[in-house]
Amino acid sequence: MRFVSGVFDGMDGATIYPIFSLLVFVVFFVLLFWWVVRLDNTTVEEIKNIPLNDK
Amino acid sequence: MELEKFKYDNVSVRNFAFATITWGVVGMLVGLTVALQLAFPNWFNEYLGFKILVFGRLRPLHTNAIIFAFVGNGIFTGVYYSLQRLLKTRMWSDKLSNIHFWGWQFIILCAALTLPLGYTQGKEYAELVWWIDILIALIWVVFGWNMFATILVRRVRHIYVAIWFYIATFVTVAILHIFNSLAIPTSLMHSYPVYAGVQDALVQWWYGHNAVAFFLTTPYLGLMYYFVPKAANRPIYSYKLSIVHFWALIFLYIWAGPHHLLYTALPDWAQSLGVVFSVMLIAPSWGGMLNGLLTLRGAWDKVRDDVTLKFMVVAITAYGMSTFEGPMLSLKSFNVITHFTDWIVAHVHIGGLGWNGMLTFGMLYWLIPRLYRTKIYSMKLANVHFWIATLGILLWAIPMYWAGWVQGLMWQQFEPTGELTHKFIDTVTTLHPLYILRSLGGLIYLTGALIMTYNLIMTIKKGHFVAEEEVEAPALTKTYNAPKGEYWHHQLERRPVQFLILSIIVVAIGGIVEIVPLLTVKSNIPTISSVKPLTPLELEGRDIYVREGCYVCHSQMVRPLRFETARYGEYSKPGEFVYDHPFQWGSKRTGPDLGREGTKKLKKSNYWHFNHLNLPKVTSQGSVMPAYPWLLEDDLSTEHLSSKISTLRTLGVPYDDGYEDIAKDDLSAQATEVAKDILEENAKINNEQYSQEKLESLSKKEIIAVIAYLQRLGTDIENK
Repeated sequence: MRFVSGVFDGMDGATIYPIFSLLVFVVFFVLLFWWVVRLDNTTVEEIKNIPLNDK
Repeated sequence: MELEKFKYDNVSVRNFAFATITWGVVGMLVGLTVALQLAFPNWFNEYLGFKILVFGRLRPLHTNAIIFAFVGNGIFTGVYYSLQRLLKTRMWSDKLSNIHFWGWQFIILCAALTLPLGYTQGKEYAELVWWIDILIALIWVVFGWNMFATILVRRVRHIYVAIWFYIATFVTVAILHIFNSLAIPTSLMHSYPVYAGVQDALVQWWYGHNAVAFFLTTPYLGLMYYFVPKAANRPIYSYKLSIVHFWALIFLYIWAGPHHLLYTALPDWAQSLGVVFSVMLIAPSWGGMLNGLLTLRGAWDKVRDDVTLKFMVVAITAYGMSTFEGPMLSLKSFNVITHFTDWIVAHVHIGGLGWNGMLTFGMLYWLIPRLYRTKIYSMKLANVHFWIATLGILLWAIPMYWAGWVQGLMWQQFEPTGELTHKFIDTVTTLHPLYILRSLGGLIYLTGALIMTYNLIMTIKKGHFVAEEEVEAPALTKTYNAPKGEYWHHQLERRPVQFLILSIIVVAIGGIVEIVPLLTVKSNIPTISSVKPLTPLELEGRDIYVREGCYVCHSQMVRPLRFETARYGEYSKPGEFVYDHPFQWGSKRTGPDLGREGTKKLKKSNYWHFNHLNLPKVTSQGSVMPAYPWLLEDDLSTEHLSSKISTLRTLGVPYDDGYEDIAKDDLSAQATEVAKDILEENAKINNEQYSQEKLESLSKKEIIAVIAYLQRLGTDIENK
C-alpha cells in the first residue's frame, strides 16, 4: 500500500491529525477514569438498585 | 411524599414482542433458505429458480429481516418495558408509541416486498430504496422523540445505565443512517448514492460496522444491564465499570469501521486507525461482558433452574467471543486469511444467533409470563429450546469457521513452480459438505425458535394480559439539593439533554477524524486518466449487477498480495472507482473476485458469459452460483437511462452535456455488437445460423447489458 501512504503526508496540515487524535484519546480516558474513581459510593449503590426497585 | 397513581403501557411491549417472534421466525426461515441454496444449488436451479428467490436478493432480505425486524423489534420490546419501569413513568405518548410500532412494521413489510423484487441500493445492510430510508428516518425520530419525552417527565432522578445505551443507540443510528443513505433518486425505485468508490466504501463500512455496534450491540447491552439484574434479582456487579464500559465503547467503536477494508484501495492511514481502535475495543467489550457475567457471582445455582439466565449466560459468552474475534480479525496477518471467507459469516452468526438471539429468547421467556400474569407453559420445552439453540449455534458456526480457514489457506497456496495450487472452483467444491452441515445447524436453531413460539403461545393462552399495569410513585421534586462534592457525571446523569449532546460529540469525533479528510481533500484519491465513465449499456448492466445482488458473493477488489495478483491480475487502485455509485467491492467471495473480469488475463468470451449466466454449472462444474435464465428472457428497460446519466453527471461523472439524448443509440449499437458476437460463436460451435430477427431480439435482452459490464471490469487500467 505504499502507493497511497505518501498522499496523506502531502496534505497541508495533515500532521495535525495523528497528534489531535492522540490528544483527544488521552484526554478522554483521563477524564473518564477521573470521574469514575471519585464517584460517591452511596449514590452508586442507589442507582445500581434502580432496576430492582421498579414496582 | 405524595404518591402519584399511573399506569405502565404494556400493549406496546406486547406488540413489539409479538413482532419480534414473528419476524424472527421469518428471518431465520429466509436464512435457512439461502443456506440451503448454497448446499443444494442444482436442486434450487431446477425447481425453485425464480428470480424473486435468487440468492443475491434473498440474502439481503435475510440480513435486513434479522437486523431490523427481529433484533429491531427486540430492542423496542425491551426498551418500552424497561424504560417505563426505570423511570417510573408511562411512555410519554400512546399515539407516538402506536405510530412507532405500526410504522416500523410497515417498513419491514416494504422491505420484504421490495428486496425480492430486486429494488436495492446495493450497499450491505442499507439496501432499502431511498423512500424507505426516509420512512426509517421518520419512524426512528418518532421513537427517539417518545423516548426522550418520557425521560424528561420521569419520576426517578438518576438515569440508569441501560438508558444511556438507549440514548446513544438513538443518536448514533440516526447519524449513521442519514449520512450513509444520502442519495439522489433517478426514479421512484432507484437512486445513486452521492459518494463514489473509496469514499462510498469508507462511509458504508463506517455505517456497516457501527450498525453492528449501535443496533446489534449498544441497545442489547442496555437490555443486558436491565434484564440480567432483574432475572438474577441482584444489582449489576459494578456500576462504575458500566460507566467506563459505556463511554469507552461509544467512543472507540465509531473509529473501527475501516477494519472491514484492510488491504483494499483505502488509504493506509485510515486502515491503521481502524486496526488500532479495533484492538482497543476489546477492553470495553470484555469489561461489559465481565460485568454481565459477574452479576451472577454467588448466584450461579440460579442459572441451573432459571431458563432466562441460561439464555443470557450463553448470550453474554457469545458477546465475549465475537468481541474477542473482532479485534483479532482486524489484525492484518489474521485478516489476510479470513477476509472474504466464511469465517466472517461465522463471526457475525456468533453475534446474531448467540448474542442477539439468545438474549432475545431469554428476555421473552422472562417478559411474556409477566405480561400475562402467569408462569411459562412448559419449563421442559424452554430447556429443550435452550439446549438445541446452543447446539444449533455450534453446528452452524464450527463448519463455517472451518470453511473460512480452509478456503483462506487454499487461496494462498502456491506450487514450488510459482503457480497457484488451487483454482477458485476447487475451493468451492471443498467447502460443499460444510455448507450442508451449516444448513443443519440453522434448521436446528430455527426448530428451537418454533418450539419457543409454541411454548409462548400456550403461556399466553393460560394467562390474562395486563394491558395497563397500575403503579404508584412519588413525583420528582422540582428542586434538587445535590449532595456536597458531587461529581459531574452524576450531574450529567440527571440531565438527559446534556447527556444526549455529549454522546453526539463523543461518537462524532471518530467519524469526523476519519471521514472529513477523505471527503474534503480530493488529492486523497489519485485520479487515473484512463479511467472513463461506463457506456450506457455497461451502466444498465451494472445496475442489473446491483439488482441481482452479485456483490453478495463477488468482490471487486484485488488486494495487493501475491496470491491475489497471481489469481486476478494487478491490484485495485483507488482511482479506478471514482465513478462507482455505489461501490461494489463486496465483503465475501463465495465466487471469485470480478474486479479484473474483463482483462486479458481473465477474459472469457461473450458466449461463455451467456452460457454461464444461463446455467453456471455448464461452464463451471461444481459451481454453487444460481442460474439467471430471466436475464435471457427479459428485455432491458432503458426508461430511466437519461435520468440515470444526468443524475450521475450531477454527482461528478463526466458525461457530456446532452449525452442522455443520444445515449440510447450508443446503447443499441453496443448491444447489437455483443449479441452478434454471441450468435456468431454459437453458429460456429453448434453450426446454427441466426436470423436478423434473432439478433434484434437478443440485443434487447438484459443479459447483453450484464455481459457488457462484466467485459468492461478492470479494463480501464489495461488501456492506459
